[in-house]
Amino acid sequence: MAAQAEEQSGGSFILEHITDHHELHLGPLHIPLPHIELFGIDMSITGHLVMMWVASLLLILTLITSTKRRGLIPSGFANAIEAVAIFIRDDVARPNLGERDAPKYMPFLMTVFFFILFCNLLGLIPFGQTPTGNINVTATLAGISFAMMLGAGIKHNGLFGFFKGLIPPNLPIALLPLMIPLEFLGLLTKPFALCIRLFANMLAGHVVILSLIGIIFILGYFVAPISIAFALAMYMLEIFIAFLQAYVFTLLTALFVGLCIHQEH
Amino acid sequence: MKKHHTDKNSSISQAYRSVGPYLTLGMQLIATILLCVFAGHWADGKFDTSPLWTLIGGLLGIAAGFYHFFKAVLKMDRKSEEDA
Repeated sequence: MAAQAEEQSGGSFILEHITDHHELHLGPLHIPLPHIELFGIDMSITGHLVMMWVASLLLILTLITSTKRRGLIPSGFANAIEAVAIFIRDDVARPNLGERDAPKYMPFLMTVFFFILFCNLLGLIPFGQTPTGNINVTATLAGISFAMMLGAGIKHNGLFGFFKGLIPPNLPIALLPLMIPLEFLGLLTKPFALCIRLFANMLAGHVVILSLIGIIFILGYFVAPISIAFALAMYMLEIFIAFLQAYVFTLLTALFVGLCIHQEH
Repeated sequence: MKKHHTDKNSSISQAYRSVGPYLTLGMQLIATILLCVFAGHWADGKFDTSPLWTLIGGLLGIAAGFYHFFKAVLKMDRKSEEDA
């Protein structure tokens, strides 16, 4: 009975950390945030929203300061930012979008990459939460990617040409009723997979770390060294995952936008 | 210095680019099936026709998922033959 109660408290402590709240948790300090409802939709300012603002602010500050005094040879932090920018241009944008179209989509891809990266990393610092561990946030990001895919495809191929290009040419008429929904579903599931992938990856790491810490309170203090060692290892892995998932989201967005522009059929 | 950076990056990125499509395949397959099942489940709740639309959604999801799975695999196969 006691063990069951402890197990429940362990679980609720994990949920407490990964869910969104109407207050900002800064250690023992709980700052209440306003509830706002517009046109019957809950538009409250929540912890994750505040964290997104923090991410945007940090993004603006770091990128402006690193590009302000820009010489021919960047130094220090600016050098790292430039390496990332060149990497995204040469290895993400150009191979997927083509030399001609890549520059037009670079600002979008860079924004997506850095915003997701900062959101992912915010969950790894004290008092931070991971906005990308909230499915509403990732769904919105995937929605933006989807809008970009449709917009780019329609702009390059025309409204009719884009949807016609989704279906393979020279198909028997009898197969059309089957192929149209299948191809259309493929278009929809791409952003859905993007959304789930980022959300699950960011959430899973936190749950594993919190579970490893929670084991200490369930089994007793003697497991502390082992579980903290494992939690630290997971933390290192999470730093890597934060970069990897930001990269994967950007890469796949570029790939999907490229597929919509250069339809293979 | 700069050249060294890009060289190092491209070898990592090349590795990711070659494994990338395979990493996304499973996710895409699951996402397709899940999306269709959820849509069917939602329609069942809305029209009170359980389990009709969940089944249709599931079957459609499996068909669409595997169709795109095979299409992607065949495309990658062609590409690797071209590269070789």
